[in-house]
Amino acid sequence: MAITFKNVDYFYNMGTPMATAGLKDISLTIPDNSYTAIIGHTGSGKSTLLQHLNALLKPSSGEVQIDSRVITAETNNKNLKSLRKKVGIVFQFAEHQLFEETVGKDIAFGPMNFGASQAEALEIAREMLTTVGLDEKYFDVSPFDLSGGQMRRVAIAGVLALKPDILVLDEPTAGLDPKSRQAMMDLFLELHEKRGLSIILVTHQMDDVADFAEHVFILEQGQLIKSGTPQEIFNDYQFMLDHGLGLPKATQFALQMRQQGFKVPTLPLKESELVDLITKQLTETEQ
Amino acid sequence: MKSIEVKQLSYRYSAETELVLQDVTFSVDAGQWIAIVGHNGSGKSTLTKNLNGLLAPTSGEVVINGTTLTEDSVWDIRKQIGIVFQNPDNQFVGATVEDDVAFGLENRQIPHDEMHRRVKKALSDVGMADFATREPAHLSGGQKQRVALAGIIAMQPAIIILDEATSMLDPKGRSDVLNIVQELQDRLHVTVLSVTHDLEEAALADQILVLDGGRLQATGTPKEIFSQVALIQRAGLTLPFVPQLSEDLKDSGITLPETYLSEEELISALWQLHLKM
Amino acid sequence: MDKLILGRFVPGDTWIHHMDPRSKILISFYFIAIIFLANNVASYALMIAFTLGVIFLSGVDQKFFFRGVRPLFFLILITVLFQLFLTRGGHVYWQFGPFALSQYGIISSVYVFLRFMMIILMSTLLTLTTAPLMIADGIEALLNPLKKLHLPIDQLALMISLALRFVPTLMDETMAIMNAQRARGVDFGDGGLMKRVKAMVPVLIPLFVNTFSRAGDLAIAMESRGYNGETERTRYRVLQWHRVDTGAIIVMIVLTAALIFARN
Repeated sequence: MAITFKNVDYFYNMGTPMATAGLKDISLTIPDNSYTAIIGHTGSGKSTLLQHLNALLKPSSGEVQIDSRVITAETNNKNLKSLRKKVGIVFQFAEHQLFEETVGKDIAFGPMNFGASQAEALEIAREMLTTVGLDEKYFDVSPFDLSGGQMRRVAIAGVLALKPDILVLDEPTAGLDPKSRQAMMDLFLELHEKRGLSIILVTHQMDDVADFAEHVFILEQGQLIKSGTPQEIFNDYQFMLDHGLGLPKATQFALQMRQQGFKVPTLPLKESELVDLITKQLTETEQ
Repeated sequence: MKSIEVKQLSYRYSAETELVLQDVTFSVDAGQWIAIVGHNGSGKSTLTKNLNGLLAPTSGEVVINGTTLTEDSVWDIRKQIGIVFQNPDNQFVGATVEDDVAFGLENRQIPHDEMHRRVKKALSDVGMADFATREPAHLSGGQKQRVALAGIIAMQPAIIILDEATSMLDPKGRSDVLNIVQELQDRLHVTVLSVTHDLEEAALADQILVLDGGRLQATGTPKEIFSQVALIQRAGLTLPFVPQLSEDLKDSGITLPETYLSEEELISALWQLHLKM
Repeated sequence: MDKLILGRFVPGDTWIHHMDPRSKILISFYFIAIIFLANNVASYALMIAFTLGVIFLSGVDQKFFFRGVRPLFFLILITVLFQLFLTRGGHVYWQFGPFALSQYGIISSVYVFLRFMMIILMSTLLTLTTAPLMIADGIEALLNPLKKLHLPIDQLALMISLALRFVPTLMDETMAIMNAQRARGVDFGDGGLMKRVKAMVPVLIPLFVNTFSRAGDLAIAMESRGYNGETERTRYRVLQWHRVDTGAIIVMIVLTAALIFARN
């Protein structure tokens, strides 16, 4: 299932003297079964855009099409709930949404809101707990007794329990240590590749963009200023630097190599590509 | 002179629980930058809290600038240590930027005029002078951490501790904070102790201490530590980009004479190889 | 959402904005007290003229004042209706059981209405032209004499300032948690009262948990920066009495004299 924005504007404090634009004339399509990255500085409109993906916010003008539903400013607030089952959002520091007595019940909370019986919901919860890589022994433990990284996983399981088609992740690894970060990024890739979930990742880490995304949207001051594949985006490295967004470390390294005098025909994005490039350079001269 | 001396420090939260820190011993020279690294839950934060008396050692002792940390000396020792904590929001005490910077000075009963002068200076040192009257709700995480740093600079401590101070920041905020700390250390020769799981940040240090399971696993310069790949992995950490790249190049048959930390070093080493071939 | 509570302050550069919060608070209370001295057309006219005068001087857009009145509209309406139909005296125009529309009733309901409006407008003026922090400073300074009775005024002041500091943070956090739970299928505006109250549980529990951990962090940060709750602290903010404040006090004395002269 795809999501399409057509000329979406969004204003905060509509109809008051303090109205400010959150989004300006955004048109984009997030195709079915894709891995998309959304990047931009704090305050660029990323979180406003995110909240349009499951109709937590409705556009002030323009329209958002989620699957076959069209959301406009006039759309009634009722009956939006079914959309939230299809598009699951894991917000920043998602561990702050946990509230139940046990991990199991907390994960089951979502499915029960959508009408699953307690038994069904707990069964889904058990499955999701292992999906996010936590041992079953945590099922009956209070979520507040877990470490920060484990709590984050429980929160993600709570969103996955809705069995969404699209999983939206707002800086899901912020504050985690390197090992947990890696494990979590691997989990999302697996969900995408093995279970066919579309992933929409909001991130500041250009390395994650390079390593995982198929398509990138860049926001600045509520506007879409660039989009393309990671290769297209980072090939225009001057643009990325000018807008203070940075580059993947491998790309940055390769640019410095180019300055030193190495031949860098295509810019590498991933570390493995950089290793190939360097080995090739150093062995070709040998011949 | 030794700025920080930690002798056989052990700590447990209560008699029934396991030791969170076991027999940790190290010392830091004045003006050094030292990084304590380890994954979340390795005991890093407990160690920090033992250094300024927020927690009292179960056994062993902490000596700051020659003074042993005791119940009597704790307030004097806190004057010598400034800590920037992890969460930018939870350490912002003042209702505005300038009020927050002034908070520590008020506690130390600095006279009014002196206080205003120090607040102004500290805010310009961290590049936040234009934000003096702003409220924290309108600041980014990186800006809040810069204000926290200003609050510390204003107190003129001998030691600055960064307790995961950059882990919740975006890349820009992170580099802003680290640049300011580096600049401060150059100018004022303060001792910096950064507690982190980010080895890119640890690479800035003179010495790295690797903490795992509450024990000190290794001590050394960044180059020494980063050449021990197995150690890093066991400690649940990942190598910074340049040492990692050097490792992977080694694996694909390119032999480099040593471990490099900066891009420039590695590139010029590669260029040397390139010329020789 | 925070705009409703704290954003009422409208920064400006007028005499009224520059007044010391202590004199502003005192004068507001004093004015509200002497409103009750007004008892005829002339004295009410005087007070209304004064109220409108300071509103004009504050340079704040009138619509902000209307917004201050709006939440109290029903209270005003009911009180005025009570006065109108339950007061008797003078000529009676209409009567039904206990209710009557009399000459005195009309006059006293008009007075009650005006009194209400003036009280609301003056207190709105105070919050519109004084930053919350300054109001807190002013209250603290006015309470300062109570320190002699060993009341913890300093701690109280710090508490108020911390509360002001964290209200926007808590508002943001509440919105964030509500969004997260809506994304998990909670419908906040749906169903009867019980259902709505129940829907708040998944918001309130995380909010409490986070607030407690925040408070713990904050206490550690404050202690690390040398706060121990006992020793005397110096103050970064010192309130300063200006000539405007002295002037304002004189104006109030003149107003009082004129009021006493005007009433019968």
